[in-house]
Amino acid sequence: MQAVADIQESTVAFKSVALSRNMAGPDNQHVTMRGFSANRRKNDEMKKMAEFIRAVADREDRDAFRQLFAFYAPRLKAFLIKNGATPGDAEEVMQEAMTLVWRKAKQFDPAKASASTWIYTIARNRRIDLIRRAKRPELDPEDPFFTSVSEQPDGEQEYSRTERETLVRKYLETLPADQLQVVQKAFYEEMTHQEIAAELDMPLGTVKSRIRIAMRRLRDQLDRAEL
Amino acid sequence: MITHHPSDEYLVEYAAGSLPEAESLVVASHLSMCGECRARVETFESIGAVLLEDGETEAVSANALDTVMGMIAATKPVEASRRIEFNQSTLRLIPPPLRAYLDADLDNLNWKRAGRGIQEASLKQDEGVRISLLRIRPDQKVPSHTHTGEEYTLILDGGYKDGFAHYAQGDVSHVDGSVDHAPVADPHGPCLCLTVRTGPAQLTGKIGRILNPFIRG
Ligand SMILES: [Zn+2]
Repeated sequence: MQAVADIQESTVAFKSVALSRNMAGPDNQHVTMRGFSANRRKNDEMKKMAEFIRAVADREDRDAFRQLFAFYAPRLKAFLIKNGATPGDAEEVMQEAMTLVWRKAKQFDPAKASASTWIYTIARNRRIDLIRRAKRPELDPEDPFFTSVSEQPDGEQEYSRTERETLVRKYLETLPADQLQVVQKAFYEEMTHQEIAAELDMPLGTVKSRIRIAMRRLRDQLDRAEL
Repeated sequence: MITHHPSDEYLVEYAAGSLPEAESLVVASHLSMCGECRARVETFESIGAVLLEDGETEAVSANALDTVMGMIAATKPVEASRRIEFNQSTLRLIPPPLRAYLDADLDNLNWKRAGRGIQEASLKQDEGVRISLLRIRPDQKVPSHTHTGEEYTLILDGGYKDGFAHYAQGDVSHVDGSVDHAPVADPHGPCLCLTVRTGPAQLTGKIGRILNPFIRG
């Protein structure tokens, strides 16, 4: 269990770089510096998470699963509550999502998604099923339809998925506060742009253009990082 | 070659899980045809992942891990798979996310005449949102119309011209209410598309409403 304690400690140490920046305001010099070394540790930590998923897939490794659970379960629960779930519903969706992490572990492909992105998408879909009771059309990356119809290849990427996450984190640290706010509401609270506009008492067009600008800058930065 | 992609705003809402079902269907179907947008969605999903990793924690119930291990050990519920064995032409033209909305092969759907040279198969209607397939005969002009809501179209086969823009297989068009448009199908073959409409259309030309597929429902 020592490893679990390490993981928990290391995340507390640099917790919430992107989130705390929002509170901190424009003075982000030290935050960026802190973010830099934190990113490295985070990167190593995420590689470990990917290995734990592989261990569950390859040999149903319960210790590895316990590590995944220790890291992700409390975060998923907080995330779901932030989305508006009651603590009871959040607990239920979290438990179902973690069960799916075990069951789907064999489908995890580090070349396609980082550990966190993969778990994020599982929990997101489970939330839609259970809380919104809505259907979510999903694409199945295993389907041959992809290769037969798709004329454009997936963007060639020199960096791994975990490295991309590091780049995304760095990018969020540099985002102006007004853009970071709408991006957080879009993802962390899973609000539609309409809902964000209503909550912030802002024209819908402003929310959309902030998202558009933020996403274009993010894509530009990732493209540059590729060169 | 796909030239008309969904805008980032929709891909962001799709990645975040807040995009409604009908629009998600258009986006997911486009994604299965477009590697470029797939890469974008993966990038946007990693924003969710970063916020999850860096986010707050909430204590889970004391026996949560045991409960989960118990759920894992329990027999897997049999998935209610009422999977239809589609024929080759259906599999070739209908992207996987859309297949769950079809109860028969393409040719055996409940096609209804929806104007001159236009057939419509309704896939779902719910709270003013209509999901349909449209088949437009070569060279057919769709009567000029505007919408009170929004119209999303994904071309599955063939193509059409709308003003100066041309839409081909995989392209997405998003027309909001104010735009008056009258697409014309390409001459070389029928055009098959998925459409999602969120409000009734209004004819702007002099052609009778019976000719207009967008006025029905
Ligand atoms: Zn695209």
